[in-house]
Amino acid sequence: MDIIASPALQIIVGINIIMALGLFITVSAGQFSLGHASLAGIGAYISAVLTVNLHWPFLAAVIVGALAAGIFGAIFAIPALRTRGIYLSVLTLGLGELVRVFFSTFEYTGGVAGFGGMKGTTVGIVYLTLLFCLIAVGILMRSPLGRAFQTVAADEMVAEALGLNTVRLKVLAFSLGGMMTALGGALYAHFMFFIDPHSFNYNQSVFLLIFVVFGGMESMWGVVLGTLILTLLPEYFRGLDQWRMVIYGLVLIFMMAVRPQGIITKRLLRKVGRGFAYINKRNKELWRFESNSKS
Amino acid sequence: MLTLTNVTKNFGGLKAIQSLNLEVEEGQIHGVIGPNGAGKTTLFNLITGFAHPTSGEMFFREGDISSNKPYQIARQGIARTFQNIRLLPGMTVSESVMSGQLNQRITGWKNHSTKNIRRAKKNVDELLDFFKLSPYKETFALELPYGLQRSLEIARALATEPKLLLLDEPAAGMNEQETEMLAEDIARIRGEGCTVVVIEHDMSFIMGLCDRITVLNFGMKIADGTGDEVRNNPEVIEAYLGK
Amino acid sequence: MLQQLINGLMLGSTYALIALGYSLVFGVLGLINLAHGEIFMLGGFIGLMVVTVAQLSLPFAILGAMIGAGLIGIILELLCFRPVKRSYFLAPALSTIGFGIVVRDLMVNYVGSEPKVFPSTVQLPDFQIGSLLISSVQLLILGASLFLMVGLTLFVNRTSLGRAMRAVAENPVVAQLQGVNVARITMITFFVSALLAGAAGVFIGLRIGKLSPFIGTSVGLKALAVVIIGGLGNINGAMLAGLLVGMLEILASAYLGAAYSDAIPWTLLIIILVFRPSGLLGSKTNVDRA
Repeated sequence: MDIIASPALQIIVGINIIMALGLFITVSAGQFSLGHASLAGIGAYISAVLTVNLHWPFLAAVIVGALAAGIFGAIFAIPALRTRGIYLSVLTLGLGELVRVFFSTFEYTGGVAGFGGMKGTTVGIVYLTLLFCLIAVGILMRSPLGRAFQTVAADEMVAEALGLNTVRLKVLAFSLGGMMTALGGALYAHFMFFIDPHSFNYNQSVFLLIFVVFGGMESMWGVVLGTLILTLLPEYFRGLDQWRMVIYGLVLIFMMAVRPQGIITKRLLRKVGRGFAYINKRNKELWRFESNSKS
Repeated sequence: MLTLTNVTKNFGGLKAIQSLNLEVEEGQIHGVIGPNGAGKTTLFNLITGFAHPTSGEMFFREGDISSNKPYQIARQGIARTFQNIRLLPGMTVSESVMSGQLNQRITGWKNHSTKNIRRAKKNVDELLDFFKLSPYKETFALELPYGLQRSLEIARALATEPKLLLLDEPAAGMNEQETEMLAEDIARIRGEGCTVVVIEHDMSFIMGLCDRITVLNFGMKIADGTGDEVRNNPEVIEAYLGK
Repeated sequence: MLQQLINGLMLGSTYALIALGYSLVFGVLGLINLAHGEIFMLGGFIGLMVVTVAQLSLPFAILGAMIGAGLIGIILELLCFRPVKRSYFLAPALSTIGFGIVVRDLMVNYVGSEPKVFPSTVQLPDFQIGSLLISSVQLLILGASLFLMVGLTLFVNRTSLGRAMRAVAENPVVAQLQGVNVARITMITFFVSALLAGAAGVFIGLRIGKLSPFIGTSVGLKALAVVIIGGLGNINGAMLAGLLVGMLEILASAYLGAAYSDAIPWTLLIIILVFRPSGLLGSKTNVDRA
């Protein structure tokens, strides 16, 4: 139980969940982005430059970094509008790679050598941000906008026929999702003290997608659970850290064959909900019975 | 209410619709029939913006909709159902109908209010009642029996509060009893003030239900008039029987 | 400049071989095999081990790599394709991502992340045409690549197996009704696509002189961009795009620097996806399949 106490791990878990939630927002509109880590990278680099070079306060820098990534998310969305399915995923992969190449060649941020000097992330800040993100996503998913996202994801043609502007919705999905993932990226930069273009490459994008898909992309709690398990598991079995990626890969293969919807699905949540309601009802009945028999 | 003037649609070399003139009057139930491949679904796609005419114009309530996007046309008041039922997986019956209400003043930032959401929920409940779907409110849409799925799709289309409803082969796969109930439902929809256009194969269904019928063959209109006029039209008879 | 074109041709032929594998699997099965890059990498290492550990000559290395890769391809099919329900469209692709990660990481754990030297066992003279220097290795690779590409085209178009594959590509249900064993054809498709990738792995090892476990991701992913540029599912498109992108990338590397050349395949991909999603030679139907 020593492990849980490590602040570094707590921070990493929190940041991972924030980033995964950002991808979740985009995926909820059916946009399976394989380039989301690069949006985190944009948030990271921009906030880093603001604090280190321009001496901005930590909070302002992180927020601006996230907002900037939101704009890039919208830019990502533009070519994505013309693609579907796997083409969309490969397109976003390409966009992510372009971002990586950009940062690799951009001398101002150190190019391939990277950029350093950021600090300021604490456990408290991460979990406060996480709380905010959880509330935001929860509200979003139950709101008409969130429902609209889900309709677009389910069937774009029907969504259009119902009067939903799928163009605007997809751009929003990329933008909002990118913003949240970038929030995580900015926090990450100020925790790791040092970042380089490879911290936000295709592999990281794939990990984020695995977190979302493994836990269950029909619900926010699925994403949280999936990220928790996959981030913590290799830590607990110390020897496994070296095999972390192999585990991720095997998990993915296994899940796709056995339960592609992820661990937590809407159906499961309803059953759990009904289960609680049933237990509640029975409790009330028993209580009434007891108080009746006493009198 | 809906006017198509000289509309032509070509797909590459294929002439799907040729110089079509069509007039749908408000408050009517208008039928569109024709053999397979006559261009009926293309017609619906054109009207609802999923395809654009190669030439010609389309007007809906005096507004030119020839180059509008599907969501714009939906917001202007034209709703449709699809030939193969396209219900959304993962949604319950009430969520499905609610998705039709999403664009009605509640997705924009300014319009998001509890009053609007309450009103939306009320509309959904009324529609569910109308189609006798209330007992299935929390069931997943795809778990419904076929006939009820059809009703649900129509309910969802109506949730967008249209003035014109386009039904693409709503009676497909239904038995006589279900078809009768469908005809009643359509009549009731018209009674609520919504104009209806129906594509169907089932001749007796169309004849008994529609005020006016347009007959298509190979993308061209070969007849247009009341049930009796169409029934006795020699070209129509040949199109259907002379194959 | 001409020298660069030759180099571009070399890179292009590597891309083309890998792209063919992607195209084949997509064309027949409608699936993008995201572990394809790792199979290519694995083929290279198998070839390396044949030469260093088994002390055999190059042809054996190529053969070994191809067959080894082919076997891995079959395992991939059994784990990532067969048991996965196709109703969830992204599931098989995600599964292949997982497979790729597993293969790559196992390799990293086994050989380390530093590139290993690929010894050149070819002791033939180099050719000089004017100012051009073409090594015999390059000629060998070009020749072998061409041979494989032609072989594949003939296989797909002239043999009955190839015809069966095309039938499944058109419509698996109808193909089944016509007596084609779709399951067997699926396995063969993965096998053949892996064969090509395995050979490409050896070729790239020969060409650059070293092999890293990460080339599956770096080169393999770019080959994915190539195949979409050429048109997914179109064999000629894959070859054409491979050569085109390879040459452009080398030219960019020479005139703009290596770091920028990385962006070439992806920039072209985005341009194609926005303006002509079916790819240079692809058909519209394939776009809807994905």
